[in-house]
Amino acid sequence: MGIVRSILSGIDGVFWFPLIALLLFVAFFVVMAVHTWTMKKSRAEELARLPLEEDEEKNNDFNS
Amino acid sequence: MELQKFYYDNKIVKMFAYATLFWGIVGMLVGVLIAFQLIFPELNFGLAFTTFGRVRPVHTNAIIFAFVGNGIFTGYYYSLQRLLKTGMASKWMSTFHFWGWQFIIVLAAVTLLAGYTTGKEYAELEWPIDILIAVVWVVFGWNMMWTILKRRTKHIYVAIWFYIATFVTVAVLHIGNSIEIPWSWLKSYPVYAGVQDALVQWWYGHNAVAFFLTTPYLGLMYYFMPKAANRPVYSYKLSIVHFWALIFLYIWAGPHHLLYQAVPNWAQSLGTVFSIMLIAPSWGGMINGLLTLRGAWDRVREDPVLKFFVVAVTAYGMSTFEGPMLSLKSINAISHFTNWTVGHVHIGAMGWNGFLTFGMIYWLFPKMFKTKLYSVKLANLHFWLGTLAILFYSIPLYWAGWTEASMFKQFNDAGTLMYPNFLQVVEQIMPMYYMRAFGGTLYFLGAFLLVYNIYKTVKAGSFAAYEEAEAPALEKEGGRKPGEGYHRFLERKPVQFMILSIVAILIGGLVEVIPTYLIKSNIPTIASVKPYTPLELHGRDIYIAEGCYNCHSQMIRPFRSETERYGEYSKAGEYVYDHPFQWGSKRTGPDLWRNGVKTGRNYKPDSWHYNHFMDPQKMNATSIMPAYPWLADYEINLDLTAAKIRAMQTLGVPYPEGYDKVANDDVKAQAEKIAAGLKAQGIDVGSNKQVIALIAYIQRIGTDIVENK
Repeated sequence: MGIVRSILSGIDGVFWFPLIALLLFVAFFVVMAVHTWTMKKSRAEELARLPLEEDEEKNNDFNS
Repeated sequence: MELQKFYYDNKIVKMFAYATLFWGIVGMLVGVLIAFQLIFPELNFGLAFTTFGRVRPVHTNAIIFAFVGNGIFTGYYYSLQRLLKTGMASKWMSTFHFWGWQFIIVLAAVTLLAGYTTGKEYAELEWPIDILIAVVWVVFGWNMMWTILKRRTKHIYVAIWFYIATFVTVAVLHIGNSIEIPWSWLKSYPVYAGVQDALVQWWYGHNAVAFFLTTPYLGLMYYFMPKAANRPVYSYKLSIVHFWALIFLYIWAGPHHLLYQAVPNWAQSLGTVFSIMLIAPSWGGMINGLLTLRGAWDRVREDPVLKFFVVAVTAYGMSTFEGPMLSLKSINAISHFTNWTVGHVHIGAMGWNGFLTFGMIYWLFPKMFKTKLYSVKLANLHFWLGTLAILFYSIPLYWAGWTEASMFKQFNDAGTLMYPNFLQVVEQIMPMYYMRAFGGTLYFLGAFLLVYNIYKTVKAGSFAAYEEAEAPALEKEGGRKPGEGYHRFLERKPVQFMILSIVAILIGGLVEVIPTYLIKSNIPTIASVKPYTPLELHGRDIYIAEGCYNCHSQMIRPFRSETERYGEYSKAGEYVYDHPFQWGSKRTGPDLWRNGVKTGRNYKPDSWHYNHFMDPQKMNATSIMPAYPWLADYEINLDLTAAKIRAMQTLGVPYPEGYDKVANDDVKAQAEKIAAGLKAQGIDVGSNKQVIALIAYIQRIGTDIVENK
């Protein structure tokens, strides 16, 4: 405990870390959410098909 | 463009799949054993290495890291190559990863049964194995990132984001929680103590659930669910939001494991708030998974793979709703320390992880062996056995949890506890323990059917270790192009993506951990709290080695029902020398924190403890505690005293300078006093035996804040 405390208290302005972290978190999340909402539908559909491409090429479903 | 030929490595997938089946059977069998040990204490066999306290961590570690771990890698190696249209970057790294991981599992089983444990749940493995885990994990991650870099697809599918987040977060968690000072070649003390250790441990523990049992499996869900249903995921946009919200929110929720315990209130509230917020992404993910089956629901009737997936995703939804509910303080006051928690985690482990693994295995083997599944009927039988097993397992434990809380908290008209004896509650929930053991056995039998079915499928099929495929090479693209969105850019930049993921998860960790270290008022010091004597320290290490924390807590919550039953509630400042903390998370037996307080209601003399350790059923006929006869045979290892003291001094425990050289004198003096006291009671036991140290420790804990004469 002593070790960790001494390391952390040696950092200048460490008290601001949590606050900056929280703001970063909120800001990043908002940007990400807005970006996703405004994504083109066709693009999202194209990405969603990525796992199925292989089957579409080969069309060999052994399991069904 | 010219097509390039390459090979998918199916051999590594097959190896991990076999390991998943093998360790699954082992882990479940051990689970069945410990379930029966709680009913028949004789099944502890009176041997150190078969006792519940040592075997239970083998079960949890085997299920989490061996069964689920190998399950992750099975699906990961299969899907990663195909999603990126390339073979694995390095064959030797894949092979090293496989054998390294299996070696770690074997080492874990051996050391845990031998009593080498850190005493921190789900992070029990000692420092040399911790280092090995870090090495193998880095090789696994390196191989993954390298494979991603040499891919033939432009964009990285969402499943792989979950794999990247898993890799970086598990690395951070594992290292963060395993910082320890070794004092022998297999033993160490964590650098954190008491409250800090508890916060770091549950930051780790909760996120082990999040990033080992959840995110990689979500990755598998986002790959195998569309494959099995032959439909794209319901909403790709939802999967992106699901991903970012999940990795941001999860990391803050750890303190919900410590509600009403001796941690700062703000940390508890932080845990609760973020846990409630987690419902949104978790349910977004569940809905996304289930709606992927839109238009394919008729196939769920016939296809066992889809059946397993539907129940798995439903179980994910149930446990991620239940989790936040359990994080509400009013509900946690009831559920915590009871069997409810055990029921809750098994909905996740058996339903979500187990069923997703089973579905994936049933889907993978016919594919890889180019044949049909040997018996769909048998797979359906497995499905129904497993589903019934989950119900038989969990419902009785929910019932038990409520029964425990109701009985523990009930007062009579005179204002005293209605059920003052802990065993009254144990007797009441025995039928639930029986049903749980039955449920666990059913689940185990179901898994056996799986193994048989796969064995027959493998026999009938033909396996190609390397599957040929072709795709055009990826054009080099460099930086962000005009008009390209940031996220789109990010989706093809795995290294930047990984760094952002690390930043995301570190943020939560910073907020949670830094203030507890720096704000003095978070842990008010108590002048009368002193370091353990060296004999008590030996006793504490025996307490940890025997895994007492698996059934006993050392944390009295500030409820009248608890202070009446156990004594004064716990204060943060009492634990400042506890490396590691031993608060526990489940009370199969009573809390022990104030057992040594002579004026307390639970005080027992040394002779009682001795007799109880030797034969608990002699002292309480209905007790389900194992006997510990070897503690009267094994000796305290005095050679290690000095190293232990020095390690503690390094951690800031204020033993006087040079005390390590004379500490053994104090060990002997205190031990002889206890042995003499026992002799006066007619018990003849050498003062150098382990039981003496354990008694010294039990009589010491929680006594520093009272006059104890």
